[in-house]
Amino acid sequence: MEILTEWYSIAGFLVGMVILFMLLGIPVAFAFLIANIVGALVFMGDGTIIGGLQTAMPQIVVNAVESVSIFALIPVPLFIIMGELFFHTGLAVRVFDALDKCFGRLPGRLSYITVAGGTIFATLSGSTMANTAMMGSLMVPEMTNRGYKRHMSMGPILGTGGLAMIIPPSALAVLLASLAEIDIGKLLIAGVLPGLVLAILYSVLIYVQVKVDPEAAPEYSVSGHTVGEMIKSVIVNVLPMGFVVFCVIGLIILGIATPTEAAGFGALGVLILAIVYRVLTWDIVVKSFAGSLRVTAMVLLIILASSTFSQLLAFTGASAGLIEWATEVQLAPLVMLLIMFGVLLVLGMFMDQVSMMLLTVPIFFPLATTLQFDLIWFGLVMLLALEISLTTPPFGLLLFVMMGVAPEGTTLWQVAKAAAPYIGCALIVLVLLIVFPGLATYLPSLMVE
Amino acid sequence: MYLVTKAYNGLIIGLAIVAGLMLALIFVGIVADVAIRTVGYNALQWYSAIAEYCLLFSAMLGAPWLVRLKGHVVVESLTMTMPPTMRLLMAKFVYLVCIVLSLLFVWYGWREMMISWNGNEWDIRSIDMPKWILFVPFPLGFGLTAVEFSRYLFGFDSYYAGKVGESESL
Repeated sequence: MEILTEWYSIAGFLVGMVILFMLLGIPVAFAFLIANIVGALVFMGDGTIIGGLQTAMPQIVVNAVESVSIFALIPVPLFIIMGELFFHTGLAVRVFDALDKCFGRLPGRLSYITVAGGTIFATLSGSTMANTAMMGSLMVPEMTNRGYKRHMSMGPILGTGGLAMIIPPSALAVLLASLAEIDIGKLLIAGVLPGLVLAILYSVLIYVQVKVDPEAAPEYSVSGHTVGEMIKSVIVNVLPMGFVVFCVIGLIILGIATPTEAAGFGALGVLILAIVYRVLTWDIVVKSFAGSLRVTAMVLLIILASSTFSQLLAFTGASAGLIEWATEVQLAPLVMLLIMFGVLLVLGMFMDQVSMMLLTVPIFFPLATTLQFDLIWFGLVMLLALEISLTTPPFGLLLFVMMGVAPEGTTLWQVAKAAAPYIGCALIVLVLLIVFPGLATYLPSLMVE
Repeated sequence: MYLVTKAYNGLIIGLAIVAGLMLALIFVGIVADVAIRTVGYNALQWYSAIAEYCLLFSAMLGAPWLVRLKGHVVVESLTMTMPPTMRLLMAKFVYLVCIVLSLLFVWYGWREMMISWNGNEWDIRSIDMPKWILFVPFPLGFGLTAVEFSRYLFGFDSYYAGKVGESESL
């Protein structure tokens, strides 16, 4: 392969292969496998297919085994189990019911409830997809019945659905930290403040939208609740969730538990709450573990399949060449950051988040190290880009989750339009992170080692 | 034939149940480990190694079940634009690719397992384990994955939902 001598042609060939195989409809895990094998044959083989396979395959198999049998990945299934239990036991619905009592006759109340409920869900579940599907099926029919316009019903759900990716527990953050070999606990905690700021910005956005067009969220009569009833409802249905949040976030910050232990206690916390509320059944346990296995196996198989990819990038000199180029061109670090952010947004238009991470982490993190970025901060910026890319048309995954629960006749364009202002909020958080990096790095700096 | 099909289906579901139990073991193990340490006893030394093995085994033993559930992530944005005949041919080609890849991993997984067995190699973790155990799920998981994909190749069912955004993710 004469043309594959420069780092950019090699990188383009390897990355391009994965993207091409994915577009052909090959399951993502298998797209990575075939790209690894072809890459190994081209760059490591002796020119013959059999000889190349004999050289490359043993290494690919060993890499695959070693890639998923690592302790750092243990929080991934635990966070997924936690979220599955939370949704299947109906604890999520209790939170919504309690919030519904508290928001009174506030204009746009259902949109605010979505943001508040979604933010609480994000602290209890590690799955963006599950959060969005849950909120969509709960809130969209109610908001449609109350005459809410589409941007007021779907927008907040699409926005807050993505918060699960940033606010701990986040299975994706664990995966990112593990792949990039950065501190998992610190990356998880780094997401707390930006996530909350994002939730506040969403509320401000709803306020502005209702002010501009009050008809977008018509007021309706709400059965009154006394202050006592509200307090009781919050104490019974929302406050106990704080125990689970403490199990995950609190224990990590206080240095009492590692992220893995915190994940275990988070799942145990949800289980205890379900027992206390008497909603735990054998059927729910089976459903929760089946759902967890489905997502865990899918994610682990992609990791397993892509394990040789970063080695190929390093072995062929593609990673080193990129870093050398980035050092030579002397582009401002901010410009490089925006380029990486842009690449993630483009990839997100047709690819899922796990694949995007596996494709870009081996390239972006060495680059971020060269540019002397704080890697925890950079990890968070990357998570933010991944979150935004979930709602970018034409193929952002959350758009389709929403289409599944939206009223009949809703077009993809309408869903994307509803999501657009919320993407704007996420971009504001990006600017805030660039101007005030402490937003991401302050809480991790308080962590007890 | 009926009995063979029934036994095979039982095997796929059975392996998925074992994989699910491994996730449960990871969960129970971490809680037990911390609880035991908290009351002053030594940590469960075997836990981290067993949990790491469980991760690998749960992924590989759950793999054929995942194919049956159409649970692998696929991107359908391009194939959806193809005419139906072309889409069908493309799908059959993809199944074939997945089968060939799976069989490659069956062969080389088996080979690595035998090399470790014959060489009496050990995997050094929090507890030492015979290294061949690590490779056991490869021939098994990928072998059954190949069979599952061949059901799509030779059958009428399609792995594809026919619309974008159906795949699950985190």
